[in-house]
Amino acid sequence: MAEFKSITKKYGDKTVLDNFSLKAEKGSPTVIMGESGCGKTTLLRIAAGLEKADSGEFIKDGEEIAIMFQEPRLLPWKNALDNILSVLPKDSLPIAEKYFSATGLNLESDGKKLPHELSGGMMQRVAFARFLAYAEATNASILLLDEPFSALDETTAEKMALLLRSFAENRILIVVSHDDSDAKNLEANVINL
Amino acid sequence: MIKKILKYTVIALVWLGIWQLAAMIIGSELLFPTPLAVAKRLFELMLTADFYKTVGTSLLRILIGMIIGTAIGAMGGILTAFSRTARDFFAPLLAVVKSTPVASFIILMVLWISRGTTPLIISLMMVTPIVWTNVETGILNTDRALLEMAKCYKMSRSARIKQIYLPGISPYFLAALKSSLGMAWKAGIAAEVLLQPMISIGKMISDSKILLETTDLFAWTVVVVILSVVIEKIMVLVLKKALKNRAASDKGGVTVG
Repeated sequence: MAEFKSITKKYGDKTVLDNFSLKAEKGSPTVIMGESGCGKTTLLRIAAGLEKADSGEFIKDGEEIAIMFQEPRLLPWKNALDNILSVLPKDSLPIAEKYFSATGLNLESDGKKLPHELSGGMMQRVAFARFLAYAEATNASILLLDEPFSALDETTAEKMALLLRSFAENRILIVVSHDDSDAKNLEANVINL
Repeated sequence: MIKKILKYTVIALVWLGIWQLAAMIIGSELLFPTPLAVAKRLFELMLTADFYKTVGTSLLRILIGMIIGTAIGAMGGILTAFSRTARDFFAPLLAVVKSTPVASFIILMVLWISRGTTPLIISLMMVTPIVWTNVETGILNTDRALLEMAKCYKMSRSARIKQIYLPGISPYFLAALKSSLGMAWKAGIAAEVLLQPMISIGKMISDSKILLETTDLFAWTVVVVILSVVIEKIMVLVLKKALKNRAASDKGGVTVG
């Protein structure tokens, strides 16, 4: 179980999160929806320990977290496959290759490309593959994703959502999005922020 | 490639032509020797063992200063990038070193240390603040988004250094070396000219001035210019290769923990 408990966060005078609470269970995906600037990303950053809430807390019972950021955040000087390997323990090449291919990327051609040689959608898929590979390698049971399919076309987004849904079957899945179709594709509970 | 060589050869020939023309107009070898006379004198110098001894000694002296200066600058830059207190503490020192005229340092150094060591210290002082500032800037400009990613994916400290900081800093570091090495070499030679250590290019330049051997002065100056370009090219090439090899050796996953 993962729980956002009475989270409040202010930036200056602006309150972006006001006493927000949410319990997420394994096998029951949650999509948090809302307009830009409503605090969706802040919620995930608090859960990942990148920001502190002014009050309230994120409870995770010692479970491992994997996060996928809204931007790909790939190392510009490493090729696509090495970007995945960079965050994995040694000897994780099979896991990296497995998820590289699972996200519809071509290991032979795309794997050797540097991030600037990839399209926005391909970069997002590399970041998604890195996220899945890391979650598997570290046995992360809490999956946090920030607009994971925003750069993908409808068909690819649907395929990736299906992959995520099956990957997260026995895990806690929290996705933030502003796109209704993400919630539909993930068959998730929707929380409007 | 051939086109490039041809282009640079033509440019060099045009400048040599301008030099020749200027020498012919002035019409005095004592004031302004022709390129041919300088080349002839340089060739004569190169046939003597003393030439290599002189060049080698100056080169070694100034190179040691450059290497130590680069090391101090890199370490200082790392320190002040990660410590606000250290940054504030060293800021006045760096500002003083950057803005004080080289001649003042040369004169001060000769009061404190030996003539032979001063060019080494001067070249060190030229390199250190530039490398220091650039390494500090490189670290401070490291992509925060990548550092957050590294934190969330629990990349080890050494992996963060090798995979995020080092590649991020290397353009700043190479730029610092490009702009400071030539300057350090010239300042080191200037120190030698003023202090005249026994075996040095600076002493040869100074002697040729006193004895009105302008052709010698030009020949030694050509040596300084050529070595300045060669030093910069070699050091940047070596460092580029070292950084590239480091990146290549990182392949295949890292320690997570």
